[in-house]
Amino acid sequence: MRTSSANQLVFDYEVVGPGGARSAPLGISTSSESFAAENIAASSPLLRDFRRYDPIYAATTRLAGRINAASIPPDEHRALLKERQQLLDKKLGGTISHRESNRLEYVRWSLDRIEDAKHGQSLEVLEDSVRRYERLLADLNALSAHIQTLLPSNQK
Amino acid sequence: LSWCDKLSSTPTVGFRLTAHYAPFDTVLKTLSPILDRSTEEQARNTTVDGPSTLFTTGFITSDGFKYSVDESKISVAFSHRAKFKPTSGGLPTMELLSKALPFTGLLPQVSSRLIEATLLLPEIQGRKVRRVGVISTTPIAESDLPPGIKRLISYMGRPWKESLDNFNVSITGTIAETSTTIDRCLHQVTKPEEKEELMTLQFDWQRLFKEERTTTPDSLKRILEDAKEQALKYFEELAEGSRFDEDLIRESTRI
Repeated sequence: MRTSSANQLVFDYEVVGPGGARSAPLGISTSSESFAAENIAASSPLLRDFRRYDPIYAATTRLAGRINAASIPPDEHRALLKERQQLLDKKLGGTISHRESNRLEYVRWSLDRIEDAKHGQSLEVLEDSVRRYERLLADLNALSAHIQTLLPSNQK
Repeated sequence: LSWCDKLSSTPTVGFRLTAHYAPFDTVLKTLSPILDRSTEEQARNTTVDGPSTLFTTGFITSDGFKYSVDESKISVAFSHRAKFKPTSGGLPTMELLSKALPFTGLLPQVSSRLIEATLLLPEIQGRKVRRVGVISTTPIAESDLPPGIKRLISYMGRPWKESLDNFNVSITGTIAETSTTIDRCLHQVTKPEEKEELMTLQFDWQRLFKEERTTTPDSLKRILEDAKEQALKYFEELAEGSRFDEDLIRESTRI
């Protein structure tokens, strides 16, 4: 499908499948039953392959997800914590069913997402600083080793 | 909050209707009240799709709502839109035209837009609803997957000892059937070969009506409300993953 636009600098992020096949991940090639079929067929002739933006998209998606997760109402958060406690009590009491055990895993994942929304960004800043110091340490060690090789043998 | 909110999934909703073969320019003309609401700036960023058949058309509004229509289907999807903004003496920056909202916040918006657009279609009074669909699309890093989806992937990968480099799996399964409806879901999970690329999860929940439904505003609203509720319930079930738990499957099939 061709696309016309008055402003070709505007583009839409669409999911690109393996080998750049835009239609593949959303099923157009395997099923015309999906409503998504038309959405994928319509794409811009410019900037067709957005895979190189995936890291940016991943970062912004994570950020948007964090904003969403951070906006969870306190009541819902409390309800999740309460449910986790009840399921953990059952687990420790040895009375948890398999289905409840799966539910516990999901509740934990949901709480992790909320925790990540609250503290994830600060931890990433901290992690970046640690990584920078580690890189500096590696560079200093390399410099020191290099200096050692340049020194006359009697000064080593 | 649904897991779709926490992972910034984007929604699509659609109807399958009894067919009416109106040429694409007629369809675009009937949908023009939607485009007429645009300001001059928004109109510049609205993209109209060229037709792939005589009966297919669609457009994307500046804020990321994508309308797609053919002789028997209509859908409204949300996808993020961005544009490059040149800066003086510097590199261009990217500006998001669409608004970042959670999945459950976008769902009512795409739904009301779908109802509005459906009621504008040519000869709509005589047409009937055959199917309704609610889709969740999520680009995601493997480390962020909900436990149920992880279990689904591991269940599918059992013959290869769960060592899957890349895959593109599509499964349509019937969820429930009553005397009047069939509920099913098209599950599409894709992992690209390149490690730095994101996986894609798409769950396309559909309700097929054995007796076609009318296209009055009240009827469309009711159909969509029920569909959204059931679809969200099923998506939560997928993320929880008991459906893919081998022990539970074995228990339920034990004679």
